[in-house]
Amino acid sequence: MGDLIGIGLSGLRVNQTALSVTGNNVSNTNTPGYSRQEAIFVDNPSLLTGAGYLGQGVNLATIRRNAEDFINAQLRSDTTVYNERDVFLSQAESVDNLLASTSTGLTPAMSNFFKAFQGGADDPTSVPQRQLLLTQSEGLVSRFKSLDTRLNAQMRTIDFELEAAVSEINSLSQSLAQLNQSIAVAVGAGQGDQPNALLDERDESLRKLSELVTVSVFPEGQSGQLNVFVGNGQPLVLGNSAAQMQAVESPTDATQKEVALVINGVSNIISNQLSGGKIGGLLEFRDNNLTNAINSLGRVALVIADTVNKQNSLGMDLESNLGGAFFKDVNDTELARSRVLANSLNTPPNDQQLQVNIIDSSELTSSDYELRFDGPRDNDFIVVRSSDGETVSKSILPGIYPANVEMEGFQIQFDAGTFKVGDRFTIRPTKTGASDINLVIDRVEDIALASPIRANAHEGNTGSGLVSLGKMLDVTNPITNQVLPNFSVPGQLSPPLEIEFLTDTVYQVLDMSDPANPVPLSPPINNQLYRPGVTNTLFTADPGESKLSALGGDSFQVPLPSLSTGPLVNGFGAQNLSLLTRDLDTGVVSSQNIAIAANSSAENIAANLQNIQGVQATAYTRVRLENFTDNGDASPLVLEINGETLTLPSGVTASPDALVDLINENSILQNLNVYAVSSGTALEIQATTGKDLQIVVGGVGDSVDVSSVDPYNPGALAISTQTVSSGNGVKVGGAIDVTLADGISLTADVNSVFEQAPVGESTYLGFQFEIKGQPKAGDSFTIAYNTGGISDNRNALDLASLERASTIGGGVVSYGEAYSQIIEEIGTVTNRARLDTEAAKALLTQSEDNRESISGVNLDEEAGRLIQYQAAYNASAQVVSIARELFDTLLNTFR
Amino acid sequence: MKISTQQLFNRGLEAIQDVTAQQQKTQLQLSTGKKILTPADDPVASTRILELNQELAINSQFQRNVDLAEGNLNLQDDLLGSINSVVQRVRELMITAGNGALSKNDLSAISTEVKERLDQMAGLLNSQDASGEYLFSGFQGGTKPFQEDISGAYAYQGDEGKRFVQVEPNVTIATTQNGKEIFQDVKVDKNTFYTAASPNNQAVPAASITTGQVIDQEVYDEFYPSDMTVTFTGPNQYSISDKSTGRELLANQPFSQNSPILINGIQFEIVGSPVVGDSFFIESTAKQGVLTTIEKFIYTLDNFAPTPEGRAVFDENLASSISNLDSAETSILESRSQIGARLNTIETTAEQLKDVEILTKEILSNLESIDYAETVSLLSVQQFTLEAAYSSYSRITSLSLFDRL
Repeated sequence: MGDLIGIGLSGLRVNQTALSVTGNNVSNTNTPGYSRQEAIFVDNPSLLTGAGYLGQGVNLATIRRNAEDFINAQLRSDTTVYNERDVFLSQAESVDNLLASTSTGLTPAMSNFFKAFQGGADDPTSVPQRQLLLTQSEGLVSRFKSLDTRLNAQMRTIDFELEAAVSEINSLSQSLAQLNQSIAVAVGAGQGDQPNALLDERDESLRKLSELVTVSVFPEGQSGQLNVFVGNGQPLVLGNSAAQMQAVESPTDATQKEVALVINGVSNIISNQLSGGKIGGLLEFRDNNLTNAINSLGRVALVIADTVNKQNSLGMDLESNLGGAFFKDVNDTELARSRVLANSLNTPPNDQQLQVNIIDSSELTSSDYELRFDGPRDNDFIVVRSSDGETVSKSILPGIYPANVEMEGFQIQFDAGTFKVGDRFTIRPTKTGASDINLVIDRVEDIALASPIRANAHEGNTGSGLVSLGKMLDVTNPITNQVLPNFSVPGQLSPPLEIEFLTDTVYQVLDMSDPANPVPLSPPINNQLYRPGVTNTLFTADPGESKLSALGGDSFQVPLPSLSTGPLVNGFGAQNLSLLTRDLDTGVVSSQNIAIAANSSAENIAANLQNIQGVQATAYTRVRLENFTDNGDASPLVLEINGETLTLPSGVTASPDALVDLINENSILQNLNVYAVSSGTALEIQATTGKDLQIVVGGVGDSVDVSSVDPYNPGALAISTQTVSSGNGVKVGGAIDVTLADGISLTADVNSVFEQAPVGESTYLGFQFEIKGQPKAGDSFTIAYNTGGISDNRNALDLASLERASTIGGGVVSYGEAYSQIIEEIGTVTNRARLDTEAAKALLTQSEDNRESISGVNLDEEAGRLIQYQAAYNASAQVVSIARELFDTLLNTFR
Repeated sequence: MKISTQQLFNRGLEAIQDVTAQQQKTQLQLSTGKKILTPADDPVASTRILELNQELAINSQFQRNVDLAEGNLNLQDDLLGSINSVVQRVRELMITAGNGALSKNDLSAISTEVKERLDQMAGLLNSQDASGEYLFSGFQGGTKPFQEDISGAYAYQGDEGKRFVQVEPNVTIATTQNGKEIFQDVKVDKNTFYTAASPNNQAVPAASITTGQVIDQEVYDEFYPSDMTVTFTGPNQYSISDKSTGRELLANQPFSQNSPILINGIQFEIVGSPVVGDSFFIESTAKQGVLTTIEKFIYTLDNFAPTPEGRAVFDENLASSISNLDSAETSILESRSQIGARLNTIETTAEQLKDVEILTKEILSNLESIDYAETVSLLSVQQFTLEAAYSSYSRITSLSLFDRL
């Protein structure tokens, strides 16, 4: 009977406890992280009786917590992924909305800017139109700046969020360490019973931690403690001690935050090892997408500033001055310096001075770069492109300042300082482009809508030659960065040029500073061949082209041999010429040699030179004949030119006027390209292909003075005049003008025809003109400064056409296309993030459902359990009551 | 599988939120009329939309340029029409002057009218547009293109600049013509010349050179096409040389103001006091400006000598004037026909631009506009779903076993 009471009481006790457990479940229905608990019943050990083993009631084995570690681990992993994608998506969406909106995007401002240039081209003198242009330029600048500000503000927001996440991690890791300790104690005290509430709390803390960053969790032996690791195994919580995380300034950019872990008092940056969770999402978006968006936007701004500046400086403003910068110069020292950031971990004294200059904005990428001094020597360095880790330059500092190294559209200029192995610098060519763009033009008159050059055909021209309006290439020589001499004096072309046709197919270009007395240029542009029927381009487009001339070197003289001494020679010495060609891309120098035999004609030498790629040579011979002295005897003065005897009608004495037509009408001489001009007293004979001119005088006792004309200074004669008397002759050699393309130089072994190391003069004028049609001998064209050309809109058209020009990314896309690319990129990223987030959300939901199905509380279930346990409790009470009744019955029996 | 109570509530709410978000998007699409609300909705299409919008902006600018060009060209055409009618009136006067019965007085009456016509013509040639730019001075819109020099002759002061506007990608059309090509470069029947002072002359006030005239055409034709330079070699002393050959034609002649200089069949005067080093150019040409032609006609009228020889010179000069004026008229008509051709091109271009605009807008609308019927029905489906979610949520969550306890 006592047994029965005991059994009933055990049922009462155990079911009451079970009811408490159920009640606890009901009240914790909404507690985050709570795991449903279950009272586990066992029947007490049976007692051996005569009838066999008799049950001894029930006992509570334990209160079990319904939790599965692997499901919790799965939940943590899915939480990490979801939070990473979710935070990434919200950041991406904010940029996405910013860039594409018509009210905040760049497109309307850019399109208005170029529309204003079109308007300027329509009416270049209109001040309101120019004012509109300035206003729209300000609009473009402010749009760039506001976009940049918003993107950078997002950068700051991300930093704040990183800081918040780090402090949350710290408090979670702290509480995890404490929980570990409490759990270890409780497990010991519980002797096998688990501290369910503490375990729930710890699991929930771990789940919260996994919202922030990927964590790996490992149990520490049998103590019940868990160790938590982040990144590539960096310990965050070990037993009951927690490491501290920090948000620290980035050594590469003090304005940016990185995540560091303090281990043994040392702070180590682990940003690049962290993934997953909010921190992973924030870092990924910031370091890849946001930085790229800022850089790409900066690149568009920088290229616009650079190209518009270049074009505006090629123009002429309303006051007939050359146009200047439109936006702030992209290579302004302050801006150039700000493109380099020294790593804060560099070896002191940190005295290095560097700057980054933009060389060719069309070649710029949107990546950052790192300049690394990785050794082995202090001056060995490499430059690594951050976007793909590719090494784009590898070189050695020469030790002399300033030193330059060029790559991908920019140039690193080392100005001063000591560099040590391990030093690093962040190079950001485009990052600040959008914040650096500034309007420097502030007067409407300064907008250069006109072109500074114009050409006119002479009103007296008799041919049909037409000269083009001209095309400006440069105002400064792009190689030397010096202002070209012809634009060195403001408001004029120095010198103005005259293109003069000597024959229908030969022209020369002269300095027209004094219109009454045009003189050859320096270097000369003499004896140029004109091809009728095609468009002839005047002047070079090669800024490195140079020209040198030879008047036959030391041997340029008119020898006076007698006819009887044998064949006449021009007296040019023998010479070996070597032409060095430096390949502009590779720097490889190759050499070619030409051997010139003695007494070669200028025409021959030029033809030899012409065979070499990049070399243009023109040769021409000019001779002046004066003082025709005929002694009046029976044999008149007779001239023989290159074997052609010029026979005058009888009774006509030889004179320039009498001979000029004989020469010009002689078909053999015409075929030799020889023609003559008479000034009444002198006869000037020219061979336009550089043939030697051989003049032999006949007639007894007669003579003619022969001089060779210096083609570079027609007033002076190259040599003192020689009197050639009858029976004698001379052979005169010509001049050679050699034009060498960029990278080619000429040297000679002896001073003969050419100087040993002749110095070429630059032929680059910074503009080109075209002539077509058929000009006639005597026609001329002038090229002058476009003074007063206020109605000219050529530069405005060029400025407006920049809108569609392929100026970005290696000359592949236009400004607008480059901006569209940014939007497309961010759009694609956002779109992908949306899908990723949805997928992660689905996985997370599934994990949550899995956990809930095991650990969650269902009130219906609990209600059922309550009824169940209550029934058992009632029944147990009945058992006790029955036992008591049995007892009473027994007692009454003995009463 | 067991569903926890928390799950029951959360999942139900999430579902409602999802549908609400979808409905919100549909509502936004309906209120903006656009399918794509942010680039992320369709990155490729939104980039294309951006490009198409840019294209439309450029297109509208081109259409504006076309309108402007049309206005400019029409203005010039009208002006050339007026100029042409003056030319015709002068031609009538020339024919009248050819009547042998006219006396010197009659001729001088004609001369008076021609002088007025000359001024009228010069006024038309110096026309300005609405913003005060001279229409016929090339790039130098601030320079009056036809100005009388000291000797009273009109000379062209502009340049050969032409202004183009862009009317299509890679297509520009000239909207201006310079005075030189229309009124100056007019072929004449006889070789002639024009005179100019070197801009580097130092005399103050600058000395000038008169228009001059051909006295003996045969002699001059022999010299043509060479040019001459008059250089002052000493005080009141000048030399004349052939410009291209340097041949000295006259050496160290004494200079006296206003007395005509005769050389190679032509005659001109130098007015003022040139200093040593000053130079003047006599340029041969087969072209003569329309104003000069009229000036020469006036000269002929004013210098008519009523003798048989005088009559012969008069007749010859008059014939030459009529022929030159005809050439001028041809040149003006050529210009007008060029303008007409350009106006035609512009018209075609304008139509093309309109077509491109319509096409672009159509593509744009295909890309970005919503199908209203589809979207509205989508909205009602979403509405229905949402209502179903509401009622099912409240029903499911209101069920509890505890209520039965």
